[in-house]
Amino acid sequence: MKKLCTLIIILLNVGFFPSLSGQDKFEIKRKEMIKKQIQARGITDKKTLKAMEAVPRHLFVPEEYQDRAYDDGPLPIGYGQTISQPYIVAYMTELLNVGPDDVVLEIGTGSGYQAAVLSRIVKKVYTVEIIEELGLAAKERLKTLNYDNVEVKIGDGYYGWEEHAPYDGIIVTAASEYIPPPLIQQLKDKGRMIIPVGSPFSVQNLMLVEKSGDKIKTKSLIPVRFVPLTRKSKP
Amino acid sequence: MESDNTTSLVRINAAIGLISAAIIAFQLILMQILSYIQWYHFAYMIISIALLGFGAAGTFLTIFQKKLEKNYYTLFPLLLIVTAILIPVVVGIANSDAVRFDSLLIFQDSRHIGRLILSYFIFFLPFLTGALAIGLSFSKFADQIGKIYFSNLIGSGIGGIIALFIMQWIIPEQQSFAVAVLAFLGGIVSLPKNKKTFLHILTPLSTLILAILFFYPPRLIPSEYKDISKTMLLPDAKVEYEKSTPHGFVQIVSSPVLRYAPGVSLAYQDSFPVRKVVFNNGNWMGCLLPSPLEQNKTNILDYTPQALPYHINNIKNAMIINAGTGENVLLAVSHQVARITANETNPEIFKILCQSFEGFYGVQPYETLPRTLLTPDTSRYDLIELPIIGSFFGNSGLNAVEPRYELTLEALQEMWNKLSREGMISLSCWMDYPVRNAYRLLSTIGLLLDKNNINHPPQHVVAIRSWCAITFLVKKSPFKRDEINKVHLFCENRMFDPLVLPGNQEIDRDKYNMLQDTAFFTHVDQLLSPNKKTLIQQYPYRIHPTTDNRPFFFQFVRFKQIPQLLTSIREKNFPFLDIGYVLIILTFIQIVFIAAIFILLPLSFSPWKSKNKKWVFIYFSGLGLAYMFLEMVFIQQFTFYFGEPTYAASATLSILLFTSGLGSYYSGKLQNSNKIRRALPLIIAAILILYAFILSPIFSATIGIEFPFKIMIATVLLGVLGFFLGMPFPLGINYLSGKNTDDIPWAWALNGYFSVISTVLATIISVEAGYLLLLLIAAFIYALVSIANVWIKG
Repeated sequence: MKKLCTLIIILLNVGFFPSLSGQDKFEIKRKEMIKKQIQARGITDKKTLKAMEAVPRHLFVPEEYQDRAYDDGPLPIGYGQTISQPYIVAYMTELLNVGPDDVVLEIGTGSGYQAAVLSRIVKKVYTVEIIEELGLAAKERLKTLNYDNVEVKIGDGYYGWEEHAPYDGIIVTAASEYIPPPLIQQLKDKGRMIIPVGSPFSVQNLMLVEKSGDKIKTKSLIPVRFVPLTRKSKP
Repeated sequence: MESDNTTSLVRINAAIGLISAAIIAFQLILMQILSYIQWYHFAYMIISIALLGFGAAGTFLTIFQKKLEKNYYTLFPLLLIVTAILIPVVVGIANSDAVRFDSLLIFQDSRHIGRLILSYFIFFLPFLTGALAIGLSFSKFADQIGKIYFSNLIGSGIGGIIALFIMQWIIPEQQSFAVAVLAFLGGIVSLPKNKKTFLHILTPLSTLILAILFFYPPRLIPSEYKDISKTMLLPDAKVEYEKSTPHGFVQIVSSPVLRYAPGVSLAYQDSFPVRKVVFNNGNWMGCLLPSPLEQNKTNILDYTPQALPYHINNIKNAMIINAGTGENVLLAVSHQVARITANETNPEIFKILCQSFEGFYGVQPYETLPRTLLTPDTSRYDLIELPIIGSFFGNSGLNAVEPRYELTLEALQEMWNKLSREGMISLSCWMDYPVRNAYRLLSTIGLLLDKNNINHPPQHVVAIRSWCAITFLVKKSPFKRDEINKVHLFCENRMFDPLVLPGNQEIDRDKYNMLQDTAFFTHVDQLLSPNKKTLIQQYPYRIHPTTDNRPFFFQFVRFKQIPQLLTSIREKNFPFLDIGYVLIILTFIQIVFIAAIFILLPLSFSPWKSKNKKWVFIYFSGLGLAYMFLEMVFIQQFTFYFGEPTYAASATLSILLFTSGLGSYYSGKLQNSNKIRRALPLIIAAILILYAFILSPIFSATIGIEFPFKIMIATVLLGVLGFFLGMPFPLGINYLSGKNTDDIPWAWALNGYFSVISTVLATIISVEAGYLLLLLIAAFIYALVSIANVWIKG
């Protein structure tokens, strides 16, 4: 009996039971997240699903929330900011409809998670964060995790990032009650801009802005999450 | 003759007055502090639980009555001094890094639930010790209860007024200290001549502690999710000005990146101006506007849907309701409106408004509520404009139970009556999803037009939609063809879409701003059709028109939806829709649960042997329940009458408490018979039924008279009632003092618990059924209290 116990301890120490190691635990959770939260809600874009599966979301949340990183909800990241619900990140990424040759601008880096997901899909991601502490932490995190095609700038998102404009897509995660004209100007013709609208822990709708010549059109889109509260059928 | 180890009744009475004043003032100040660092509904939740300290004090007394009464003269000053120290200390502890909780994280992080519970307990303590001192005195001097209760009520009334002064003149961090001084003075006044050694030490020690707390007050840190916290994170953000007022803590913040362009059209391509922003209790209020003379050629506000009325008609005379810092006034000025009448209720914001338009003779600001301004006004307006409703980010229903009398059917009717022949009412709201604000506005507009016998409502309504907001125009006469053409032009130039246009022509409603859920358009049409009732009844949210009886514009949750919303909270998938009302329901459940435990607890220690259990229970719980129902009803009713919420609440409470105090004092002169205890609640019930019929007509007839006359009318109406309201409680206690003194703490506990239950229940009833029913329920409870006297045995 004693020998058996010793053997189990040795096996545990050498990692014989891989399911108990932290990294794999998160991988399993991530796969579950894709299946139960994202695909189940109708996200089908392969690029988006692949990117979401590849990015270790738990490394973009504060340590105390790592175990809940793959939960079906937003999480606090400090400074009054949140990391969006995985489904919302996937939905915004899919809506942006960008590909490997595209360049994307993100306003409101936050933890850097959305930029990391986009970086797996597009050629280059430029991201601007106004809160210095958040921006510097995201910059360091993205560098450590080798997201080399992401550039972080600490600055006022109102002006976008003119040097690298025009952009194929823009995501404005730090929305205000207005859409800055410089961002519209920096959006390519036929480009798309996504703005999540809602209180800190809830995105009630997504504003899709499309530019076509001088004309700008918007579309208010409803995340699936809110449908059950209003009516049973799909909108 | 006073012995050395006792204190005279006069000094006890003075101390009771002081501690009662301190407790009421602390309650009001705590509400303000918590509204600043959290949100109003969380403040409400915490205070309600803390107030259970009154009931808990009664429970404690029931168990330890004899022992405590024996040491009364030592315990009483000790409890007062301890309360004095606890008041600022609990504010400090609750705001420390280890304890401070964040309202929005409660649903995300279980640690914050623990912190919330800890906060409950911490804030509960000073209420417990203060109430223990009062309850102990009730029990000790039951034969003199009329005088003791008189001091308690008068002290409470004065406490409300003192709180207003403290909130006006003392910085928020030091306000709890100022309240503590009242309790401390009570302790000093009630010290026995022959002080015990520990009291010798305690008095200077507590003076020292209070002095330290005065010079090193606790820091008040608002939730990181509040507007002010986020703004202060911006580069070079600084607070330029701050002022505490009874209406909230006003701050003006500047930052080179703080821009102002709420909901501006995507067609606007100029730069957005940097502005200083005004916050009240940490929430965005508006911004400091440029002088109208310094306005740019392109007025940014002209690119919002609210500018529509100025583009379709020549507006000469406009009324701007709840002007805030004056955005809509500036819009009117920029369109050369000759006469602009505006109102704002918050005095500090009103000052800003006045400063912004100083020297503009056409602009006439008034510091009052809109209804008080509207009713006596005989002018005719080309435009009456209300501020935009809701919030760009959604307000999560955090102002669900804030009455909005300017948005009721009766208010819109008054506005309609003041319109010139071509006049319009302009109502705007931020787009929300699920759609609630727009539907409620439209259902109220629909009913308004029905009431005014408008045969074709769609002829009188125009609505346009931007990427984030909607503006409705309701016109007294039908819209003309050229006006409709101007609406089209306005929309085209600004990339807005027409939503409702008179006439039968096909309109492109989503040329620039598309909606995934196109049911919105069908619903809008239905709300202007004779078939609107079906949608109002079947829509998952409450969108029925609001009335003066139920003026809660932002309460959309249907009662049957509560279990569904609670499930969402449990599954941490809570979308923060209408959270305010859910929190009130949760508060009610918590209070009933905690009260039930504390009410049952003493029974396990000392089984209740009273002969008159039923009577004690119904009499004292009924009095607690009904009195607070009435406070709630009258605060709301007189807010509407006085036109100013904070002072109205203060005046109402003070008059009620003062006159109740007089009634209590007078009750000592009455012969305490079963007959009189039966008659008094019946008199009160009769007055209440009378008030249910006469209050509204009296208010309507006299709303326009001078303020001092209004105070006189309020004093008569509330005073007569208050005088009678003050009698039943002391008479009941006095009766027990002659029969079964053991029941006194128990009666006090019941009264305390039911008073707290009552405040939350009153809110729920007024939301669900209206104030009138609440008043009638209170009358019914007093009738029940009267009937309960038949159960008195012996």
